[in-house]
Amino acid sequence: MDEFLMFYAPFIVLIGAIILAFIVAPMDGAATRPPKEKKK
Amino acid sequence: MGNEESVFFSRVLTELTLSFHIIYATIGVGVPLMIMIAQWVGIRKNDEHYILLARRWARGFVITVAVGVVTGTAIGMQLSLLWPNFMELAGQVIALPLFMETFAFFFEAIFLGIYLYTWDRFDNQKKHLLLLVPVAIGASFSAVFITMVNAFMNAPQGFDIVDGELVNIQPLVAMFNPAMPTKVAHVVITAYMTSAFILAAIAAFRLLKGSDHVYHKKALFLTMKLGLIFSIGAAVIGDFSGKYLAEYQPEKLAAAEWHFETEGEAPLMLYGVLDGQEVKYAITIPYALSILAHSDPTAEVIGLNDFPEDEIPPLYIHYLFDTMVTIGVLMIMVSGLYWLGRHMRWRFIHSRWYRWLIVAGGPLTVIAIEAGWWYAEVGRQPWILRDIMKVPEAATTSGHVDTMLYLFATLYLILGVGSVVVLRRMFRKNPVEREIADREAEVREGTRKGGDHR
Ligand code: HEM
Repeated sequence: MDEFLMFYAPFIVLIGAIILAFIVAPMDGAATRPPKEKKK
Repeated sequence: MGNEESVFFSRVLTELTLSFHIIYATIGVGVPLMIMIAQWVGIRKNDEHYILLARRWARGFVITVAVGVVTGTAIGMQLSLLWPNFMELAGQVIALPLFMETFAFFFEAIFLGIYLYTWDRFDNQKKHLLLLVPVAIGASFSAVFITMVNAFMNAPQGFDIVDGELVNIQPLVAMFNPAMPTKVAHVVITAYMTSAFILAAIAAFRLLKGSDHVYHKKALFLTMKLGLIFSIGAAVIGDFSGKYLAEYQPEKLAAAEWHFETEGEAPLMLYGVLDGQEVKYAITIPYALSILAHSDPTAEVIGLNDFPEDEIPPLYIHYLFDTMVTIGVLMIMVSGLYWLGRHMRWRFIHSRWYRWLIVAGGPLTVIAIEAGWWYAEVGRQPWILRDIMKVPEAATTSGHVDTMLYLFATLYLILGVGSVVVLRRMFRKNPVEREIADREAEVREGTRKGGDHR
């Protein structure tokens, strides 16, 4: 188990993170929405 | 100058050079991926703001590459001049990735030049984006190859020494040493993380200084999202690094955690002070060291008392490790809350104090990079090549290292101040609001190529 975590898992996490970054990057709807109005 | 003095000055000069270089190198590795992602989003969404983001980041990036090249060359030179005995061995065993790093850099530099000079030359932006792929690959692989050399210093293999002679040299075995995967992945992902948070800090700063432009809001959201992904990845790979250390360099892990007795159910100590072998005032997380070392809360972790006294690294590295981890966890929280807050429409993420926190995140992640490297390097002491060659055995006996130190310190001061001044002037003279207006006018008049990016 530790062998897998030391030798293969680091690259899997790295490549996975790069792919995830490309997937979520275009989802920017939340950036352009105004914040909620304050309750009066 | 005695030998001890030349060892001392060689150490200080090497530390200064690497600490300065790593700032520019980290940006150099991470920013191309950020540019690529921004341009890709711009093309996919046909959004001029992201294209401009990529364009402006690329301009700033060139300055940092230039400084990285100068300091990188200084490292190459200093390795041979200051550590000749080490380079004699390393030159025969681990020269392959050293050369390949140079090739990766040329690969990057050539395509970067073409990429920069061909903005607006393509009708189809996608073709222009393709030019950036070798830039990003070259940049990341520079880090991969050079970190392989550093990994070799921690877990040397791929050669034998018989009667003082190097025999049976296997360069590929040396490259693919046990320290390589965790080190390479941790270094590359923290470079992406740091670049994302530096760019986020710039966007947050502009918003703090009164801009309300959606360009900066998009930039901040994008970079915080990327920062979140890469900081979680950095923490996960950091955990794997802990497992590597427990197996191959237990003294480095034990010194970072002030763990003296070999025992199971070992707790993780954060901060505190050391009184003999007693740890006082520390925040103790039960079982966490056993989990970090072996993914098992009861697992035995080797303590410092099992090592000869002269092979134990300096114990102050505890604070370096804690600084790195604290900043990593803080940035996961800051970017995670920002991302959640954007979706839940929480107001506090738009407050001044929160934006200042994001601005602070830029320099803080750079501090984490420095702390991480100091920890990894000081934690290898007294060895330059673990279990094979100690630092003083590797050093030059020249009497002029102190003069070199002063000269290089001056050079770094000039480069550091110079690059900041140039970057500030570059962006101040050409504010984003004006550039957006210019580009919109060009599109209206139909004088620009690639108005539609899809
Ligand atoms: C959050 C949890 C983190 C953990 C558990 C962690 C763990 C580690 C460990 C165990 C090492 C030593 C590896 C070795 O010597 O072989 C290391 C090194 C390093 N860390 Fe971290 N780290 C974390 C976060 C960060 C962050 C946030 C940064 C920077 C932004 C960072 C940058 C570095 C660097 C540059 C090194 C030296 C290169 C290396 O040895 O891998 N780390 N880290």
